[in-house]
Amino acid sequence: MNHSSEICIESVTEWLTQAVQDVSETTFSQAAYPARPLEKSVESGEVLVACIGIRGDCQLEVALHFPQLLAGRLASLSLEMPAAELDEKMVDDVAGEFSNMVVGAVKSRISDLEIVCAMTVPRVVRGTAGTPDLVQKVKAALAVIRGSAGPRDPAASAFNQLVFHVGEGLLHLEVQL
Amino acid sequence: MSKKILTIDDSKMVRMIVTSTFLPYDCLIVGAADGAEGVEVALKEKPDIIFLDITMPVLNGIDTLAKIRASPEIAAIPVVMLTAESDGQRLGMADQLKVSGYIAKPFKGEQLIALTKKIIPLAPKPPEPKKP
Repeated sequence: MNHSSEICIESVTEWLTQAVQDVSETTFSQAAYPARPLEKSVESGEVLVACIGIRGDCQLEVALHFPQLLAGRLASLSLEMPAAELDEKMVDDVAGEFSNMVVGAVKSRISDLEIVCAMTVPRVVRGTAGTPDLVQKVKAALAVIRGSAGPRDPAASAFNQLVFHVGEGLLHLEVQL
Repeated sequence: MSKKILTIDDSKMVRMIVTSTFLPYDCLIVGAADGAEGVEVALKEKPDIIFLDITMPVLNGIDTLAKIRASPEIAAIPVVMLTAESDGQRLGMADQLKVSGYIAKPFKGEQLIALTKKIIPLAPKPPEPKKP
């Protein structure tokens, strides 16, 4: 049975906000807080997008957009290595684990409501913000995450976009419930 | 006596955080990037304690734990789940397979040390011998 309708996007947004702050502060020692509406600038430049989902009786996908500079800084902090010595695989791993911890916290809240679900492994794609190429890569990653659940029905889904200050960078999240 | 710790996690970042957390202690840290590799490493290294993630490719943490418990040579090794999924459903499954504890990600190094000390004795790393 699909219980997605029993969970509202507002609850998911609140859980995600708490989780982004917890993960940023605990693992990376970076203060994190939601951006105000006027600060929600459009993304630009090179980005890493970590796509991750929850499957089962609740269907949720989250795409976390890390500007390359932010992802590199987080990787440098957590791996205790100078940014110049990091390779793409290391930075992708950190972005993926950040997303795993954030969505894991949300998954735990959903499971605590006795809704049976499981989390997917994160998939990280790279590209230039706002380009059709990146949009296509993110769509493809989310399609793999949705698997047999198939494409989303926009009429039956809720979407939200969140932006956070994480350290000196801006982290964009796209949420589909 | 030096303790051997196995960390099974698909994230190199988490494996490195575990490694650096235990740097002040007399420990050898070995790692594995998925559950299947983790079982192999456990059989070879016979660690004193295992930290195990749940969401991993190839073999997830719950199935890995089941394999460990089904392998007589390593069945008795204490296992701590170190996971982003800290809900009752997952932890209930792990409980049935006799885990020694849970730590939810994100975690602080102090939490890891405190729980480990409850399970196995940890001694400070001996000073490096002075060079002549």
